[in-house]
Amino acid sequence: MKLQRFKEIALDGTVRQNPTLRLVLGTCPTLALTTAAMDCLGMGAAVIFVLVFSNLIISLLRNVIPDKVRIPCFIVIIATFVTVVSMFIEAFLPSLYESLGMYLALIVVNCIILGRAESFASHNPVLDSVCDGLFMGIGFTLSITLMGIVREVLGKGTLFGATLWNFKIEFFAKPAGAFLTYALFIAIFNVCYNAVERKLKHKAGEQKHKAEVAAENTAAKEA
Amino acid sequence: MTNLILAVGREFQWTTVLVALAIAFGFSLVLGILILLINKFTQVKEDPRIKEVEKCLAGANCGACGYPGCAGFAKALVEGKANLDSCGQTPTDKRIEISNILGIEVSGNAEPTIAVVGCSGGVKCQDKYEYQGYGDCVSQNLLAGGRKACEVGCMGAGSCVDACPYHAIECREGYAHVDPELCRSCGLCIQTCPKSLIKRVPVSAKVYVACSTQCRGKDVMSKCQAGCIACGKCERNCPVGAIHLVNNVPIIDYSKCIHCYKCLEGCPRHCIKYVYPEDVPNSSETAEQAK
Amino acid sequence: MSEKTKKPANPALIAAVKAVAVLVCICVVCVALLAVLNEVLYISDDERLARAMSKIYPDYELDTEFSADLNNTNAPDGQIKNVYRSRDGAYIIEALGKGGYQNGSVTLYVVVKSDATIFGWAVKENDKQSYIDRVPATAGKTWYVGRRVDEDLQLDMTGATVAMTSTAIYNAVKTAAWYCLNTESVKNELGLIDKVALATDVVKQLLGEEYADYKFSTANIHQNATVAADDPAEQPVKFMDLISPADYPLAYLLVGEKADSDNGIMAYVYGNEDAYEAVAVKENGTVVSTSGMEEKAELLQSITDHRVIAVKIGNQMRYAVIHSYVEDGDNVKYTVSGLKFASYPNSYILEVVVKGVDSKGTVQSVTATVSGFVSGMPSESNANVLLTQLNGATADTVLELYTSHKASGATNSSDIIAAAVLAVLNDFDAKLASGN
Repeated sequence: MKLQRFKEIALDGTVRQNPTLRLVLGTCPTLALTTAAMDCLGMGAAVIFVLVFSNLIISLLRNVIPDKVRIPCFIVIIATFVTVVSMFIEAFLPSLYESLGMYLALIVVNCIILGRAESFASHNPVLDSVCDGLFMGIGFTLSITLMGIVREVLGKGTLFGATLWNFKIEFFAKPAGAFLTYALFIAIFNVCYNAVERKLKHKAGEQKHKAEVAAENTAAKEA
Repeated sequence: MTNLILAVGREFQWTTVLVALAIAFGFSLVLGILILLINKFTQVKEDPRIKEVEKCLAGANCGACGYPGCAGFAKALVEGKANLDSCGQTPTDKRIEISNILGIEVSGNAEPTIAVVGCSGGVKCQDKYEYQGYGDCVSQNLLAGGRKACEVGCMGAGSCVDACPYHAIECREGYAHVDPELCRSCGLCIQTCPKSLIKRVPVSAKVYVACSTQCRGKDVMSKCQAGCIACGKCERNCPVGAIHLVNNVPIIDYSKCIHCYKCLEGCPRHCIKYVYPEDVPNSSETAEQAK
Repeated sequence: MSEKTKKPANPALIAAVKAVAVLVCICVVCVALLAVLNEVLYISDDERLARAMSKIYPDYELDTEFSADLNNTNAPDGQIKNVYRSRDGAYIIEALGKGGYQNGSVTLYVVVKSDATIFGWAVKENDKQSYIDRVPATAGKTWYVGRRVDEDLQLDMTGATVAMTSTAIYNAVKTAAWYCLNTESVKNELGLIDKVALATDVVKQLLGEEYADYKFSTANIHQNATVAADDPAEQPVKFMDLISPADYPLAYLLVGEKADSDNGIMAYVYGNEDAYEAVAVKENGTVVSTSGMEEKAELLQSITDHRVIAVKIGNQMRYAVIHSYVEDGDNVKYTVSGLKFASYPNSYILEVVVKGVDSKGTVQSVTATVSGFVSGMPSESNANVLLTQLNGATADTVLELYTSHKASGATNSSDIIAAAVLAVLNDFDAKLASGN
């Protein structure tokens, strides 16, 4: 795979089409689990696993699965991997299993996974799909972990379980605070994103222009 | 935190596995057949030509034709409501295919086009006032027709830049430039520009007129250093009469143009420009004319 | 056959068969993978026990030679699944508690130490308890810890926002305690005396042969239940204060039930396991006492005056105290308290006017002088509606009215009100029958 394409997919997954902050997918675990930053990391890891493997299989089978039974096939594959990851977590990381609770099973209906399967993996080659799954998962993990850190520090006064100070605004640990924090994150991220994008385009245009002028000047001097 | 407990696993129990497989087999079989039966009963009878036409279209889903995406356009074409010319992006061979499927004639310009901006004033054009406000060209235009001294001067505030789905336009030196490599002639910028400065030229065009003012002479010179003064030199220089002044605006008839560049070289104001940057010859005089 | 069978196969049919085949293949392969992994990653009972113990009882050492006595596994509110033993004499009882959310259950490992106290518990698994994560993580180390298995364990819900899952946990712990008391080997090992059984024996002796088939159990009257004071102008008093004076506290309050009867027999037991003394109140209101109580004349008087009547409402025993009745022509005005049995609502004090119609007591009016409803609760109006609905009720129709009313809410208050009115009607009918 070309480096250019790899960079494009990587940037799409983490920044340009960040599932939490740009596409606003998978809001259920985002709102529910960000009360504790440790849970976010665990959930993120599980989602990365499921995304990578389901994208892999779906991309491998993309020419085999007929259109009519597309959705049941995708769901069965995704559900299988979620069950696999759930079994692994229950066997080897029981404390994480308890803290994730029912949200582990809810990964099956997490929009991100079915969304990427439907819109990317089902008509892209295998390596591209795997990278897309990986980076989408990383983007998801990073954004919910950041949200989790903010909500945990403000709402409970702890960070990854360790108490920092006595001060807390309980509002942030409640559902209403979840919505507010999420909204603020989306707003701030998109403002920064738009500003950076504009600047980059402007710079690219200027650079191109300068390069052309420079090329002609050097050519003119030689002439 | 993590306590790796390794005492997991048990002896393989075939009965559990086989029961699970049997259930999976039965369940999926029944549900699969159910899906197909219901699908047969609820199938929407769609004209098969719609899918074929849609496959021939460019597939950009830009919406410039006025229909919801290429699927909507295909449906409208099959129903006879739309004109194939509304889509500037579909290449000629595909157009012929569509016309064959639908049994209609391919009308008008078969040649694909790109957009060019009919202004090169920018920083060279004086400002009536300094605009400090919200938004872009469309909003600026509401305030006494924008800040440029010339009524049809490009404000360079980027409405067309935002409208372009292919990021083919950028503002440099105070006015908009279309990158001919990226432009797909969808026409969204043409609809957006409040001064209606952007126009289409054929892909084969080599020169275009980068000024749209209907004023002449001193009027223009006092406002803009790059504006056309309607001197008529281009018209006189053209060996084939492809360029004429209409209302003080030079208009090029591309069916006649032989790409001799005489109009461009002779223009004292340098307001006729190369369409493609690679055509710009490498000499310091004409470096001015580089995009 | 016809020529149609020789036509080339219908492409649509082939596509359909291919679709089903792909779906079935994917399902079967995925399920095969999962089934294999399930075996590979299976967490056995021993493993679950080890994990649970690492949380609450790390010093646990499994006694592998121990074989559990599992003859008796069906408890009233749960089941015993298995019993383990630690080398230091503690029992680990795997108990299932019923009565959870969505009629599900919770299975716990309850650790009972050799001194018959509960050391802690940990969840092994649950059935349908989706909200079990709202039980605080420390509950296994704080709820019921330190209580003896022969004590009356009270439902503990501190810090949890789930009532039904907490009830299932309570039932599981109660089941483990029940096992300890009802299995000979464990009982002897832990040095337990079934005190309730001893007290019951004393009561049965007192009552005589005709009450031999009654089953006795501890009454579930709340500690803070109130009754009307002797002087109506005064504040209600705590029922427990009346029957359990500081110098001679009540040991047990027992209720005897029989299958075909809706009434219960109350028994107040004082003293300790060496020598119990009891006062029993028969259904017809006779107070019977045993030796020792003659010196407690005041207490005896108090009990006689505040005769508690146990009535079965909705398959549970509920309690009412008749304070007084005033005859006014054909009408009799009763003052009756319905006793509180849970943490909310409170006791009701009602004035019920009864008249004899066709030789059956019929309610003329019910008013609440002290409303037991906790003000502000959503179904307060529902509870008050029952007071008017009971007009015209007789002893037979009270239960019907109660059941139909209960469907609309305010169940605890309805229980209390219905019990009080039914007790009054029974008393009226009994007096009528005996020729009053």
